Amino acid sequence: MNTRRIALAVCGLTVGHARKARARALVDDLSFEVAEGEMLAFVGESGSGKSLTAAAIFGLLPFGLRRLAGSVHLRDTELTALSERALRVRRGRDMGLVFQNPLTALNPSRSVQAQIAETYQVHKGGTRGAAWARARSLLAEVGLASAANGPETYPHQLSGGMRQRVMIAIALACDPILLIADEPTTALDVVVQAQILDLLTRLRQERGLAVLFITHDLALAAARADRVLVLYAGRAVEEGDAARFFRAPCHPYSRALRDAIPAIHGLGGRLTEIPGLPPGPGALPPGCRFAPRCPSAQDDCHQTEPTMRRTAPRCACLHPSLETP
Amino acid sequence: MTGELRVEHLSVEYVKRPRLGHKEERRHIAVNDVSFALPSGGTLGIVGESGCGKTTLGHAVLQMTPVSRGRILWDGTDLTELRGAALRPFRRQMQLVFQDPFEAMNPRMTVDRIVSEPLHLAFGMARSARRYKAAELLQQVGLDETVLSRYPRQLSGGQRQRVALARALATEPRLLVLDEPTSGLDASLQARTLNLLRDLQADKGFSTLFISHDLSAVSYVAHRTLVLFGGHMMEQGPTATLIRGPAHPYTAALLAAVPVPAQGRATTSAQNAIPRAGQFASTGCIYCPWCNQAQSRCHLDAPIATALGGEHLVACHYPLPGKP
Ligand SMILES: Nc1ncnc2c1ncn2[C@@H]1O[C@H](COP(=O)(O)OP(=O)(O)OP(=O)(O)O)[C@@H](O)[C@H]1O
Ligand SMILES: Nc1ncnc2c1ncn2[C@@H]1O[C@H](COP(=O)(O)OP(=O)(O)O)[C@@H](O)[C@H]1O
Ligand code: SF4
Ligand code: SF4
Ligand SMILES: [Mg+2]
Ligand SMILES: [Mg+2]
Repeated sequence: MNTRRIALAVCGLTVGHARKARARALVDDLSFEVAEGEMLAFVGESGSGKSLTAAAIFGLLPFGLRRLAGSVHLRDTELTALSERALRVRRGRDMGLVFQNPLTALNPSRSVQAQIAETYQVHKGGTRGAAWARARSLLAEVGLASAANGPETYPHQLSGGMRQRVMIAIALACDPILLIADEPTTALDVVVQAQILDLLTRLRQERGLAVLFITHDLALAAARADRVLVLYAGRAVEEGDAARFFRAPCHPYSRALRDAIPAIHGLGGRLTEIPGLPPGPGALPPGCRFAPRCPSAQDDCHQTEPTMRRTAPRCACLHPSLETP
Repeated sequence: MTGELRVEHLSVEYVKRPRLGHKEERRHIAVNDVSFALPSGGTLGIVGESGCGKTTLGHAVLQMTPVSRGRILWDGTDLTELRGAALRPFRRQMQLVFQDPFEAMNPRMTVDRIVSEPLHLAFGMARSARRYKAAELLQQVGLDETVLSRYPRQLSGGQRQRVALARALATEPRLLVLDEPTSGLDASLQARTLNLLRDLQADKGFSTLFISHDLSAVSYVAHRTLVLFGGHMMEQGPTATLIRGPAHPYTAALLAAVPVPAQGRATTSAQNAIPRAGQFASTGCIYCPWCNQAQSRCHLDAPIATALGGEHLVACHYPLPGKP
């Protein structure tokens, strides 16, 4: 598995406010890699910096925010060194992005075939006919046979799951190296969710697509990803093999997240809550940023900021749980 | 006042305007002959895929959508026969938390006003008392006073969801209809919201119609669960019974699609197409085109809901053997 080429390498990525020097970093010294054909899941509470990381990789940070440090390599290209124009080309061609709400991202007045064909033509050129042929084959590939073979189809004629497939088809139009899917199935029911993930799995196997999968759903991440990275207040707090992670999380925050989800066969019992809230936009607590909410916190946690362990299981905690599963 | 809800043979039909160049108007039956009972203080989970009619069912119960057929009995009063002023006292007793709370909130109102408006409308409460009560309601849903002066767009999804819940609780309802209350929330907020709902319900004794596509969440809060497909009831019964031994092939397919950590799911569930209006089988069982148990009889004659024992109902000619 380690012999596969690295598709995406992020190193020391830090995102913060462009003007407010005193505000805390929203993405803080984040490093990770995604290999070809691999799926890395990003999990963490709302506001932990998952979407901002995706935006920073794409060079699409919202106004007022800036990449303060760090590098982003897509294969051998350092994206942060590219001009805006060069980056735009790479964005459409080598990286695809799929959002949670596909309806807002699709043009309601144009057929999905036309929208896919256009994306392809803009980046790859060629004739209109070739672009349409490509659009139809992509629609077939994502399992929308009726749109692939039939008449022009408009977004409003499709269900949520089908629209999400169209978004994936658009993202795949130029055969990208990397796909970032930001909560692609949060609005969908379990059956459609399973279908979308089957599709992503197939694309990884067949095309070596690297996938960065952002989700709230820890069970889904553990069931479908190769590796999981847990973010807390902009920092990576644990990283590792998905199955191991769910069986034996080593960071108290990961454990708390796992214990918070209702198990379908575990009817009844009260869910374990994580007390308090993640730190707001202001200053961070001293020492470990999770300390105010941590059930395992000890005195030193309020003074010393933990760093990521270099050996597996990788986590950033002064008192990790390291028993082997 | 006990607060018992009985829904009998409820159907809701949407009439779609004829398309340009077409004469006939098209009808779409979003909810088709659905019946259930929700005892006072109980929770009924409504599950099914998107577009199956869950929201429509909730809106019909609250008289926000015209009912085509059937009765909605609240403590024995048929709400479908009431209009205007006669309905008003019932509206106060029944509150809805929308699927997307952002759409339901006035973007120009602060949280303070959003939460205290019903206090004013329902109880004519004075301004200072309202503000105090609003802060108390927010505290009950786990928000602090600092959000009072914010606008909806300045809140996170989880905060908006809880503001919507606080607003719904303001009139002290007897029935709460929650439409996908936790779908957009992360694990931590979902746990808190589900625990919160349980505590509030234990404390205040309201009944809940819990609409969700998330079976895990439903299994946690709902005593009973009703499975909808294409507007039809497929199965309903005690949640534990349905989850341990689904009798309807569709319920089984839904359960099979729930991700199981550390196990992975290589294959898709029985379904490989997403049914849409107009694609359902027109005769026989509507689930027929996707059912892996279908036999010739299923294509011809539509199954009717039959009791499998106790409170467990299933609409299928060949129910799966339940697990003991
Ligand atoms: N445009 C912005 N200006 C200022 N702060 C922002 C902006 N966008 C996001 N933030 C802040 O950055 C942090 C990370 O936000 P981000 O959207 O990456 O979270 P997330 O992990 O994707 O959360 P969710 O799970 O809710 O999507 C949050 O504290 C958020 O409030
Ligand atoms: N106002 C409306 N007019 C016409 N059709 C509608 C309307 N609202 C919902 N529908 C249709 O009714 C069906 C059920 O919708 P809904 O109750 O919103 O589903 P769910 O909440 O289960 O996702 C869907 O096919 C939907 O497209
Ligand atoms: S360092 Fe201390 S406070 Fe932080 S997660 Fe570990 S035990 Fe908890
Ligand atoms: S009636 Fe037949 S087609 Fe319908 S669910 Fe039962 S077995 Fe399947
Ligand atoms: Mg996000
Ligand atoms: Mg709905």
